[in-house]
Amino acid sequence: MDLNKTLERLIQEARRRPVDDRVPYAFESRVMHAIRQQPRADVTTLWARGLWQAVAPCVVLAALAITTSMKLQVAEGDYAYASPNTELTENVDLGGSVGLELNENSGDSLW
Amino acid sequence: MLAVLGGDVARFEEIVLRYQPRMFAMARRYARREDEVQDIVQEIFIKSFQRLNTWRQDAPFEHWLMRIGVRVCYDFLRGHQRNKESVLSDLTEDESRWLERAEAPGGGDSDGIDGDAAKSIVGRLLEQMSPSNRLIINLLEIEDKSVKEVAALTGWSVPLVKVRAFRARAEMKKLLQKLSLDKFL
Repeated sequence: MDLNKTLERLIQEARRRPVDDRVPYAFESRVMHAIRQQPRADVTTLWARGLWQAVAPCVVLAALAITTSMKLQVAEGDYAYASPNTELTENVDLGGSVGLELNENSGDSLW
Repeated sequence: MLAVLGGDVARFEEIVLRYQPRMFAMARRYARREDEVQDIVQEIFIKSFQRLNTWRQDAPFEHWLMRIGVRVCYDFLRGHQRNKESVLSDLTEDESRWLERAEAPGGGDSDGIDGDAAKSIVGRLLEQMSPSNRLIINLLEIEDKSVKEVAALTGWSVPLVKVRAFRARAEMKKLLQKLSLDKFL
């Protein structure tokens, strides 16, 4: 079987058939009605649409900002509560290490 | 056209009246059910109305409208590619007879062969093809347009149209082979 030949003949026959271009009764009225139903895109409508579309991202951003701010406040609160002891320890440690460092430096001093 | 552009919406009805037969002929190549055909044509006119300001007045309006039409039909095919209604192997008696006569040795003369059956077989084959291949076969082979015309209508480049045409013919041939094998099994 020659597929190319059969395919060519099929396409030729399909090409030769008349095209059905009948239009349903009063179709143009349906189209015009649909067109008139379409919302007109004036500047105010576009602006309002843009504002509505921005609502969701703004809410998400606000929620993120609130969460971050609350976390920071909690962290600061913890620090404040623990600060007297922590600072003391840190100071002691820092002082010791600095002291050692100073001592070491003083031992190997270049001047 | 200028009146419509100036805001006279009612004058668009004249455009619809003038071009709707061509749009129906085009839509019927891509959709079988009449309600789908009507939806496609309505979509074409609504889109053309909405984008009327993008029409360059030095270019023929019909070409511009056809481009929108092709785009809407292609979108329709892509949206409905999973709803393939017919099964390739379910041939009618006329279609089977057409294939038998076409495949018989010396059965090359197609004058006596029923053209409706051939058109129906082509429809079945096209329905199984991918949207881009179906569009290419319709435009290039059935509507007999040139590669350049197809490129202008689809917005694809000339080399892309050629590549897609080659693939589309190969797919169609493969489907025809499957159809012939199923018929005899």
